Amino acid sequence: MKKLDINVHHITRVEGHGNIVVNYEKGVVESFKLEIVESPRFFEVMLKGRHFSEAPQITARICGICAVGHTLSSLRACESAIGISPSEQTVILRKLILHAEIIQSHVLHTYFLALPDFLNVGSVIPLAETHGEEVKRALRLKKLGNDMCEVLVGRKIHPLAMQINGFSRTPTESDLITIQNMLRDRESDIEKMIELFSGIAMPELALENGEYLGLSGEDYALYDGKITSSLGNSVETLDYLKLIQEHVEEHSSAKHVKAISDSYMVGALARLNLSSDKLHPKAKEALKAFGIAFPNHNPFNINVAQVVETVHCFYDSLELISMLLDKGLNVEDYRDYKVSSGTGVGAVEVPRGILFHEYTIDDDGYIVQANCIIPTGQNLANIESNLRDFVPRIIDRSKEEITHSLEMLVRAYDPCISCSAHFLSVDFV
Amino acid sequence: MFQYDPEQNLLIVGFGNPLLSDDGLGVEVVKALGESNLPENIHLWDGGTMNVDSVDLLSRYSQAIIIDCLELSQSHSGIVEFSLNDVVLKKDSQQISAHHINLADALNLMLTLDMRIPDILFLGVTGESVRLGEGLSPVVEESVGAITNRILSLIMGTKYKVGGII
Repeated sequence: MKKLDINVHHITRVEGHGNIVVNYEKGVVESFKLEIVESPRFFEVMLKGRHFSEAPQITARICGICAVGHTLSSLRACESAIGISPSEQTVILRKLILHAEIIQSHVLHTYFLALPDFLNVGSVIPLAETHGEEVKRALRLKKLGNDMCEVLVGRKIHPLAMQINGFSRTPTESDLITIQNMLRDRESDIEKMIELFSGIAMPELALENGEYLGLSGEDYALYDGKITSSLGNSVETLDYLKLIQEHVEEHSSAKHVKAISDSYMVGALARLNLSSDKLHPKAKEALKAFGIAFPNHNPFNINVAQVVETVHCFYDSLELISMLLDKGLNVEDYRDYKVSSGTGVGAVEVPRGILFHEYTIDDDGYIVQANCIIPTGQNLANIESNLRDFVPRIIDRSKEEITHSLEMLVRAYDPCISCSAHFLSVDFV
Repeated sequence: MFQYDPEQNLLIVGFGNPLLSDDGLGVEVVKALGESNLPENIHLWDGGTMNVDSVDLLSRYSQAIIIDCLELSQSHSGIVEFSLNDVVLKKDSQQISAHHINLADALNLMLTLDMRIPDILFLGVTGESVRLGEGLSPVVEESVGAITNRILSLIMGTKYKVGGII
């Protein structure tokens, strides 16, 4: 009987450091851990004592890829705490900006991190040698998401113009037409993205079921909705802790989270499992090209789900722009609100899953308590559960194949900690 | 050899992380240059810790000056100046991540994709420490002014000091 000890040290360099540890003996996976050894960030503590109007700018720095997502969750938490609702125009513009971020992030993951695995190259550099057109297309599509953000909120990352209750600079009709033209110029790139990825067979990991958590609402809910578990429960944003509970695991400096079962998945596949019927028609069409059924329990199909969501965000952006142009844009006084004490929660679907920010503020608007629960932390327990289920299915493969397959599984989740998961060393005992 | 053409746009980039001591050199030089009255065709960029988006930015310029803290195989005191032709770009095909693409990765990617690479002048000094912490070491701090003046001299075609010609 094969005995296998896997110790992956520092599967990442940038967004965090994590190790994979798997021990398999006598047909049993004895331990399966995704150790998070990154130092805690302490953003929640940093927020204490700061004025709530500073929170969106501070928390945007949690992530250079999901800076829009953190800003939006933070804004929504602030607005919830003081009991205000921004205008319809602000909400539509925010949805558009969120689409831009999802496009750039999903393109980054699917093309630059995942695609080299499927085309049997080590990274994007050899990929550029063998598939130059695909890499150029990826650069164009990522640039599209970045440029949309720059036009709408003043910077490619760490947005400036999004404020509590509105925008410090309202985008103009001309801005929207510029973005509309940018999008139209990239339509053939989107079509080729579908064509490329639908021709790739994802590895099989047919799990029997799972719990999926995300927003659900009337539309394909990314910005607003009820927090919903695929196992049946659904709560309002303010009641999020009635559905999920954080807990500390000794091997992880990131808290694990559970909902109804011991682990759950958030992110693109979770969203599709909850709401694929509400995708933009073009995204539904794209989904058909992949020929996968829903609900889908294969975590490798997160890659597929991200491609489909890219299509959704692309075409829904065009619709949101048309809606805004039809209504006409108004410069609104975003500072027209009163500060009062309270607790507020913001829950927004960012590229890697649902993101929670919760703040309690005092009468003067200073933060006395803060809690942020990021998607990667929510996925950790599920990744470990998948490792446990996956290892026995591939134990008869070669050392190199097991190594590669485990890396691909972790990478499929697009965790912040998986930025450069190419340091895997496997020791057979 | 880098030859500044005032008729063309010039990108001046400072790379580095100001929270890693001397690694913040490039960012400090860009800040110092920002206080000068530069011609409109010269664009400053705090490049931070780099990412894949630098590929697009670099491809839009025919000339660039890049400032960074250096790690040299041989010890060298004072400002080090070299062009792209003077160096061999490292190619590490296994460790690259798109989230953390470094300058060599970006330039390799551009070369592979036949993208236009600007004529580049690199300027930097050897860092004493790149440990976690704010502020430059005294030696590197001193080089900020020297590098700034060197760049201004190149641009103005004469000896120049922040605040005016000397």
